[in-house]
Amino acid sequence: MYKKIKSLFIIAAGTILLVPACKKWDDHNRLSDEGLSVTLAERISQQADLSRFTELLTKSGYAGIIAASKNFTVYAPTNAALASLPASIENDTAALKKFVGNHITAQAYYTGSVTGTQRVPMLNGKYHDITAATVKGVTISGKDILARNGVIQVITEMLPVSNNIWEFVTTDTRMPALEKVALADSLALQFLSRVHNLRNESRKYTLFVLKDAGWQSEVNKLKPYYVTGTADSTTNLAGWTVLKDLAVDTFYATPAAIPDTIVSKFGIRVGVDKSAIAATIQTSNGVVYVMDKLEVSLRNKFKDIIIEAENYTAASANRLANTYFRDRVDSATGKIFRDVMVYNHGLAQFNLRYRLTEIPSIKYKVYWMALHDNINGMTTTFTQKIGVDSFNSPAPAYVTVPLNRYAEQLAGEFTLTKYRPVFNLFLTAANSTTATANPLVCNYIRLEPVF
Amino acid sequence: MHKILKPVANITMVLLLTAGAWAQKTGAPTGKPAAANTPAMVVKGIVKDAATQKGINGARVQVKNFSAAIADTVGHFSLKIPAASATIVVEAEGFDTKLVPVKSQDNIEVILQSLSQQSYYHQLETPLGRQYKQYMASPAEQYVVNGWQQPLETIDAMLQGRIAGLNAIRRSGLQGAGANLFQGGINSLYATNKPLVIIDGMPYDANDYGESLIANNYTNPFSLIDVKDIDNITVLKDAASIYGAKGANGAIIITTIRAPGQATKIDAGIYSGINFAPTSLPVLNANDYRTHLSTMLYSKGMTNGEIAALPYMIDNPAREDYYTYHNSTDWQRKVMDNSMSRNVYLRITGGDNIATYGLTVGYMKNSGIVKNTDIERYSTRFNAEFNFTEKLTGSANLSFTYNDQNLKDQGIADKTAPIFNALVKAPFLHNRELAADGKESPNFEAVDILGISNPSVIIDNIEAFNKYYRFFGSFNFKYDINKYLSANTMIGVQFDKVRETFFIPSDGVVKDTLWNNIANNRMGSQVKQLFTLFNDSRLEYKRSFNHTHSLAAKLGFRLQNNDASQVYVTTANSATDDLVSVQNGLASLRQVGGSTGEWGWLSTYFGAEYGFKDKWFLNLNAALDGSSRFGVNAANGLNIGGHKFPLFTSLGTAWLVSSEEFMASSAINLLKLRASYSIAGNDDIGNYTARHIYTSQNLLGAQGSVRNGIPNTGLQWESVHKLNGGIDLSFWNDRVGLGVDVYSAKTKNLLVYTPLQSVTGFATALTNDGELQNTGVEATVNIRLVDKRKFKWDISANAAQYKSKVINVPGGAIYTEYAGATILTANGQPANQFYGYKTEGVFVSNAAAAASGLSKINANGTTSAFKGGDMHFVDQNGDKIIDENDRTVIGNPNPDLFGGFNNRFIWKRFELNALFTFSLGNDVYNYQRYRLESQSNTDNQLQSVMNSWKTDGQVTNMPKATWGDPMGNSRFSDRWIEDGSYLRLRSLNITYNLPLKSTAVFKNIAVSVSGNNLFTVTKYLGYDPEFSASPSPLAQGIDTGLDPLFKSVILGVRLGL
Repeated sequence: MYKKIKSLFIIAAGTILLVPACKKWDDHNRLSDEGLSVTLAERISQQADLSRFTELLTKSGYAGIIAASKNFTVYAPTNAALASLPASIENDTAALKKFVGNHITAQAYYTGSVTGTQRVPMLNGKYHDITAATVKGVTISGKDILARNGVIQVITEMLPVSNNIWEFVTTDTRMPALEKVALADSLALQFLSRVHNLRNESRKYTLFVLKDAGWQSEVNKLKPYYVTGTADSTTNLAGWTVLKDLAVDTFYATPAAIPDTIVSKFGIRVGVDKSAIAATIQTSNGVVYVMDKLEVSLRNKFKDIIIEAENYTAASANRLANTYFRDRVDSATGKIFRDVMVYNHGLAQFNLRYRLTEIPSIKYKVYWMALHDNINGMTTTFTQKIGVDSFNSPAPAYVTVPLNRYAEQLAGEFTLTKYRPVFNLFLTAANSTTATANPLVCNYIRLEPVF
Repeated sequence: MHKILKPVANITMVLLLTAGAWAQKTGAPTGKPAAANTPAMVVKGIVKDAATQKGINGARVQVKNFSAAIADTVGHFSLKIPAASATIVVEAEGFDTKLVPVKSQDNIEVILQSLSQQSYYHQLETPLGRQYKQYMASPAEQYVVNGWQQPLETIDAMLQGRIAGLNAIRRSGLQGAGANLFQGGINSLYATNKPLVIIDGMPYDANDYGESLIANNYTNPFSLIDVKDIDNITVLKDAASIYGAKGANGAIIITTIRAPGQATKIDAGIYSGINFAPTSLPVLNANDYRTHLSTMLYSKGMTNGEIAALPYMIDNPAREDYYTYHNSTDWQRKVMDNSMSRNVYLRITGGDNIATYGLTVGYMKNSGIVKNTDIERYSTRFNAEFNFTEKLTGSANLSFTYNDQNLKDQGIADKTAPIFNALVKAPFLHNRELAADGKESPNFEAVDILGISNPSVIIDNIEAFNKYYRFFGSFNFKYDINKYLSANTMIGVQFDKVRETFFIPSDGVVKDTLWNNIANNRMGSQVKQLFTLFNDSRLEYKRSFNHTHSLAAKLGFRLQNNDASQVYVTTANSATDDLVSVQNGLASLRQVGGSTGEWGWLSTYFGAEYGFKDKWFLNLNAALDGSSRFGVNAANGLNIGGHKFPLFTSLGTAWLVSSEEFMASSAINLLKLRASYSIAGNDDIGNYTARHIYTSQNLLGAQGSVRNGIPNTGLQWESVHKLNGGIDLSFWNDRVGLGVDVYSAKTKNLLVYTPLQSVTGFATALTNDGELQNTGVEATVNIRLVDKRKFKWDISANAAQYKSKVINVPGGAIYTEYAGATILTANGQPANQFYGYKTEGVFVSNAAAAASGLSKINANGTTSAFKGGDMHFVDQNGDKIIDENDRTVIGNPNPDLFGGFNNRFIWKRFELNALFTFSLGNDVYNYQRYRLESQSNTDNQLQSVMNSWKTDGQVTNMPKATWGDPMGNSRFSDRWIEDGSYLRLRSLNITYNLPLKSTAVFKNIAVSVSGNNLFTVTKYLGYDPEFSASPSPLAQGIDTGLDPLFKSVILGVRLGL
């Protein structure tokens, strides 16, 4: 009897006391949103208005992917938005995968945490610009539906897959034929690697393309400066020179956004005549403007070539012990510059060589800035010269370096009759072995094209 | 839980009031003249069994040193008494002894209770000898230990919930870790709060000489004692003045086993048990963790592409490392497991009229719930009592114990603590290397891609041993000069040696950075030794005059000389992980250090107890103490020979109201009022802090000595002044016993670190400039609820409350940093409060955060505004900037009420004991949860982080996950402060005594099942709400993640020959 009472007591006490003990974590871990207990795939399937998208997820295989334990954001179009989805996409597995993947990104982007515009990658490799309220310009209507592994943003328009600029260039019929030949064919690799990789989805670019007439006139204008052995290579080089300044990694969404002048990667100023815009084509990684013409003046196209004298390619003899790299203050500007000075080298016509590349066939005026600030207490002046192709080319002639002159000084001129992929320029000392007569000093050499 | 306790409290209150009313009613003079001292009065009476109400055959009745009689078969007796005010002692086999004041009655009825756990008629072991509790003037309580029912406990932990006011907080679930003891609240900030422990008359050293090399481990001297060796424990709650400078925190007097008689008695116990690994903390599973990790890495600034390219994010089974990163491992189960315990114990007692002895031999192996941890103990004890001549007697108490422990780092040791690493380790990893086809290699994985050690390597390959032995022995000689006077001397030694070694391998464990190198593997060893010589010589006088006055007095001196040393050597980078011992490490990385300590204690003491007619009692104690630790220029104390000798005194008085004649017809069996005032000292001020000392210093390779701080030659003991008032009450035929004590203690000359001016070159100096007050109430109630012949139900409960208040500390406040917490010790407030930020939830949106206008100042001086998802910290000073000026008191680790209640059921041959312990209203800083919810790195977190704030309008209590936590959302705030209240079934024991024929080989056989910590009711979000990382009151209530306490069940057989 007593034993029964005892065991009953113990069981009762135990039960009463154990219940809160088990519950303590339940209370603490209780999810603040019921959606946090299910995966995105389940959460989407629970939304009545997303039943079409649920179907597409299943069909495309993405349902399994977004059930995985990583973070995703699903921009889920409503059933109404998907009504206009062409059957061709739905029935084409690859296209459908691409289409559905265009709505999913592999990180949770909550509307509250997005500041400004962010460019985020979608699972199909495309990128979308998102803001707190929009994705790819489409307004988010159902915000921040939470799930265990991410968030759902409901949108009332679908996000069709669009081509990128390069796909436009290579496949679109609106691409002018002549420029297409140059850009997509002969100069493709050079352009993608040296200018901008227009296949890159993660950034946005602006590309100007010229209609055939405009293209031809620009190329023709530049041909004289690329005199080579063959017409083809001249055309190629001229084409490249036109092409390289036509793409920028700035996204000018509308013609209105384009400034009067854009500056290409190579520092070339290109004036844009907006009235010449024939078509505007939006792509997934930027915009393409088809232009009737886009003229760049020769003076803009061919910039001065500035050679820092201390960055010489070679010296005629090893005189490092006599070579000084000096930091001097320009008395005119107050800025510090570094030059090279070779003193007491003991050689007649000691010279420094500068290897230049891709020099167009133009006439150049040569200027230098050479500071003879009473080198080693010298009060006498000395001469030095520019050598073209060889250190003692007849022209330009020796020029006297005056005392304490900080300004540029004309050092002569020369004309290149042919385009030079590689071109050697020399700075040559006086034909003397006397230390006070043959110093070499220079801050920079500037080649100014003359048309 | 409050509701459960409320009735108990109410009953207590009612009882108290009733008793008060009784006292008042009966306190008026009745006009009846006091009985004259007529010689040879006779009193008649009957001795009855409380359960059956029948007379007890053969009950012994006596007046000490006067007369004795034996009751007849129906319990009737007739006894000569010296006076009408005499007290007769009634004893019977199987019953509690009872002291019955005659109070001029001719015929008295004595009702005896069968043996109970606590009674005012029990004799307690006091510094002045054995004394009936009802005659004691100072507060003391006894716990009669039945170690057979709690075979694997340690003494300190076993005291939990047994003694009102003794707060035993178990350190951790490490086997043998024991408990930190606080008697009567907080008496000191920086000196010890532990009561003095006396075992068989000699102080048992329970201090720690130098930290363990193994992180956060504590070598517990009480783990050396098998509780079955213990006979009883008395706790003196007053400041124990008779122990002078060591008595400030009271004293625990432990008596080990004695031969109960001359017949040879052999008892053997065999125990085996299971320790149950605690329920895992709900950390994120592999899937949720990967989602969380992805969020963290994104917050760190990695792009989607970079995250997707991480090997654990790629779900392609064709990849070679797919199986390495796609597991679901429960790491907590990899480091914690159920484990076994074993204990074999043999006790032989016996002797003849010349000598009696008690001999015990024990072996125990108790494995921890952290894998590969255990304690193995070999213990032996020999106690003997000799009658050399009629006048010369002696006793010997010798014990030797050897402990061998396998340990692991615990607590805050991020690279090497198994539990911490198991909690934060990515669950998608595996503990062994996996091949491309998923086949498991026997090799352990190395440190993982996220920089966390492999917990399995920690368990299997980290070696950490502690070998510990102690000899504790004494001889005591007593010479009876005459009938009343005797001379005693005791000589004892304790020799204690701790050897620790550790080895941390390079593979699988995060490398440690030393000051001059990276440690691939590390190793070290340490030896700590203590030698203590103790002598206690005294004259004892005990006499009763005319059965009216009784006097017991002691005058003696104690001498203790201690010599402690510690030597350690650590090094690193042995050639391979197979070379584990310290000589294999690089010489250039070797660090050798140590310390020595020598100190002496000399105490001249006097104690006297005086009783008048067994009604009035007076107790006087005094001690004049000298210690090598005291500064020669101490402000207080007597100056003898250039040294300072403080005098500690106490005076206690008690009035046994129930022995007054006007109480003759009262239903109250016992009513006693007590008051005592005691002063005792605390000499735990450091061996050399009061002296000019030098310490070695290395400067650019040259070794030299430099001053170690500013010496304070005026440094002295702390002194605790304690005023105690108490009432003891017993009624319902002694079926209800109640004791209540109220005290107020003041610690003067409190040791504090006083800030120094920077010009001195030192930041602080130890001074006696503090003062602390401590008040409290303690209550004990014992009830025999059911008293039938075959069924008895005893309830004994105790509860206590204390409040500490700082009277003065330098500068008005001390801020102590520990485990990320700030502990405030400020004038006028409790000594150890949590000081941090208050929170008001999480900002639901950026708009809400902006509306609050709060911001914080960064390290570089810029300001960051709080945003949606950040914690809303309360801006206490209203300046809209959340900084340290906004901190406030956010918690108090001291319980409002703590204690325990034991239920004992005896039914036929069954006995069931169930001890519940509780602690109410104590706040806990959950450091472990702070690490598991701060969401600032790649560590695995609790499942609660799935609730972390994500989007505007989301109402949650979990802030957003941010790499590095730039807004300090996880700073020390009330987020981490929890209610640490708990109610626990601390121990449960069911014993069945087999019925045996008298011809059987065995005299008795008892089978028992014991359970520990079987259930705990708490809201605390951690493994367990009980832990104590340090003996300091400033570190209480901080869950640093020590090995948690666990459930265990032990089966045992006790055989008696």
